[in-house]
Amino acid sequence: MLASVNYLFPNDLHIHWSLMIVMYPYITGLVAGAFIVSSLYHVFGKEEFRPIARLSLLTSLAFLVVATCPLLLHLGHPERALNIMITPHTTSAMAGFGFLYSIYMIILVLEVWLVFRIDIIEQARGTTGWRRRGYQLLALGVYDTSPEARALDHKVVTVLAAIGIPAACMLHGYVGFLFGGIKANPWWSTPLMPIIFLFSAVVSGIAALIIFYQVAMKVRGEEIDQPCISALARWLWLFMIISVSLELLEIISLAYERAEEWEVISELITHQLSFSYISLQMIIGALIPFILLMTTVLLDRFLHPRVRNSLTFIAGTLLLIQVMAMRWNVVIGGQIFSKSFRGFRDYHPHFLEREGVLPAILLVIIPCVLLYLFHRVVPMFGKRTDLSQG
Amino acid sequence: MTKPLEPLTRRNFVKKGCELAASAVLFLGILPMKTARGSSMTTPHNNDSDSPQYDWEEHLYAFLVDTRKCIGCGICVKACRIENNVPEGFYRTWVERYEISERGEVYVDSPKGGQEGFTPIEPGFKTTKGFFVPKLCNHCDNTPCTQVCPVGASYSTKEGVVLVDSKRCIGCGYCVQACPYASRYLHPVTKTADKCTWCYHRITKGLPPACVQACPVGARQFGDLKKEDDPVRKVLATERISVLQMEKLTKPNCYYIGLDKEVR
Amino acid sequence: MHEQPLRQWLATLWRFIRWICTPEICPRDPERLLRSPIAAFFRSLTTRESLPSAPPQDKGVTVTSPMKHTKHYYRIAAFLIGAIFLFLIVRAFLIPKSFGEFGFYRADNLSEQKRLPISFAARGDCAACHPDIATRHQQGPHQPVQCQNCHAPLTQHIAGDGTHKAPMPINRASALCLRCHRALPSRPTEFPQIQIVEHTGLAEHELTEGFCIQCHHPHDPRPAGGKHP
Repeated sequence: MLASVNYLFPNDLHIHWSLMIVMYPYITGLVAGAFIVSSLYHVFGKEEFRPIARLSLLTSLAFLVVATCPLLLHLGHPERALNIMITPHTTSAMAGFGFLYSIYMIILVLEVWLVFRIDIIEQARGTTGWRRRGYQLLALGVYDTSPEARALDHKVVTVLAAIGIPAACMLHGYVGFLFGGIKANPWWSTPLMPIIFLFSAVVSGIAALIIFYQVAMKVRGEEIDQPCISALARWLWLFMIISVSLELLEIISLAYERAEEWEVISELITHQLSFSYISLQMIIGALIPFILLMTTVLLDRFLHPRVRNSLTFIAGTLLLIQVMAMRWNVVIGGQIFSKSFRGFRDYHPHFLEREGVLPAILLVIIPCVLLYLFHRVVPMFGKRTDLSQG
Repeated sequence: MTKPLEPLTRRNFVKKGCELAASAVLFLGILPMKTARGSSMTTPHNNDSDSPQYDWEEHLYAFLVDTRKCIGCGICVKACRIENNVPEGFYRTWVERYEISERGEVYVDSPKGGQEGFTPIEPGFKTTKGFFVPKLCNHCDNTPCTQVCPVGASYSTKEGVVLVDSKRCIGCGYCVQACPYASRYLHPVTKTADKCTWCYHRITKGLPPACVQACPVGARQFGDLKKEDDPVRKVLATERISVLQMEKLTKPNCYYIGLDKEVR
Repeated sequence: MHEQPLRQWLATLWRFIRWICTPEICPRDPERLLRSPIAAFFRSLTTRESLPSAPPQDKGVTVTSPMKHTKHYYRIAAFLIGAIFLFLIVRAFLIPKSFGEFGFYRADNLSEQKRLPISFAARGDCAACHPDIATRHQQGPHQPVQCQNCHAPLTQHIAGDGTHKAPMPINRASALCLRCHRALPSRPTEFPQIQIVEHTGLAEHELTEGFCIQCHHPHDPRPAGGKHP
């Protein structure tokens, strides 16, 4: 037994992975989650997701664009970041990031381009001057809108969406593995980590889509598609149950095995992380949305659309907070205790530093702005919901 | 063209394209893997005139800490800081003080890594057992830190020293997380990972590491396992030794005599 | 740039080009040449298309050549291939010269590490100029304590070319002595250590500079006469 006398290893006074490393899995989680929703429509033919099929793809892209930013802000030498692709060390989990990210980026950009190609050409037709030039450039100068081309595009989109699922899972499961593969840290070192990350990614993705969709419809003054919302609620409920169960399972098995590290981890959860773990991640972020979503799912046919919208909106918001809290608890929690297992340090991010609160907020706002810009370029909603159908 | 010509199909075209892509990927993979000239060469990069005779094949270093001898003066920590320009608040080596009571109560501390020495404390119990434990990078064989370095900035040399290339390190901090002994830190000025090098610039010139040379009681010893009459080699061969956090299977090359169960 | 893999890769590239130039892919017959995939690839890059002013009338799916509606795929493939090639070329230039010579690291770093400046000179170096002190020090119980511990690294005192640089600091503070000799429960019991109040009759903070060395000369601390005041 290691009695706690608050002794930290002298080098353990500093938290090296700070808020930006909390944001990084959060953002890639949104990328993977939103993409999986779009694949539910494109690959698994879930017709109820048609209204958000394009929104989900573009959400995924918007967040993917900024996914490297938290890492670059975190690195001591961002100008050397490309080294991980120039000399990728095969034994390092982190070296895979550059390639996984690029592959996923290629798949996603291709899919987005094929889905929106016809619209881009249409837009080019309807505009003049430099805007027309821009659309022509986006179309790569090919204006084939024939039914055969559409049919081919549709086929390719399905294939890309199918390849994209494992790619998204890899991109995000890998983030979990980054933590799960560190044997020096008992709070991280578990094979469950990639799976927990993956499921919570899907939760955050669906939750974000519920919010984006409802907000977009409110702004446009359009009707919120109820079958879509209730389908989202059903899937969200399922994935949050799996995600929270896995998160609990990890703690329970640690506690039950009473391993050496449980001494420090039980202290961590009940004291240092009591607010973000027990209150946010488990009660406000999991229990309450669980009840809200259960109501939405089980009483679906009795609910007035406004009630359903509000319930899912609140549940979505809470789950986004839950996933954020979970990332925080994993990343920061894993560093709050010293590797001496005898003491704890403290971490409070500053507002205006390179890895502070302001950049973190910007990292969430920028993708939303990007999403709006994407919407200005190509129609995200509207009548011709899926032109690649052919 | 002796072999039969492949027919003209889209499939074939795509296939050949994939082959080219695969070869490109292969190229990408093998390019840095310059074939190991090291085995045929006698000395690594002999462009430094200071140590022309040094041959890394002839050495295999090991570090021995005898905790029974350590008096906790902390001169070693100070010497390391001076020799290696270690920034204040960061430690390539440090000394821990343990005070333990009959009932198993433990007090551990390491004020400023022990670099100013230790003063008496009131642990709140009657100390029946006390000792100091100097710590440093264990220069593991099975290194968790170099394993996770994404860019090959951290590596093990043939003599068993784990080093960091500060011109290549991107400062991601993954190795800091992966080291179970907390012997790495991110240097606040260079923004790269930094750690004990066993004073590589000294040992390659036949000098002991600064901490070993500074230790007045011989609690720190540095040895070369490829030398016949090496005292450390003899101790490792004949005495009961242990390493830190054995269960992590990192295979440290830093050996300890007289470790207590409370030491992690 | 590394010759061997580069050569291998160029060989693969050459084989590919030769394959493309075979009559099967690149037919000598001009009519067939225009229908070959290689021609489609390059045509997709070179031919400019004007944007039709109105969408084509939907005539239903008609059976046409599968190669006919793939122009945009050829274009995007060209982009991708171009990007990958660009990356490969940039990468080849950015790999440090000595990388991978002995393992997955930059071999030049070994010499960089070796060239770092030494601060603490070898143990006996002080004796070259101070043989008298060295002899006395060698005979006393402080023999294992190197001079540079209590003074400073020799390189602060003597420059690299052997000339005098700065006077060696002399630390007379009692705290320096107490660093090793203050009684602590964690110290090995056989090591000489003092209970300050018992030994001196004063509290630690009352010990003035030079207090200990009144009786104990640091170079040979055995008290003269063998007893304490």
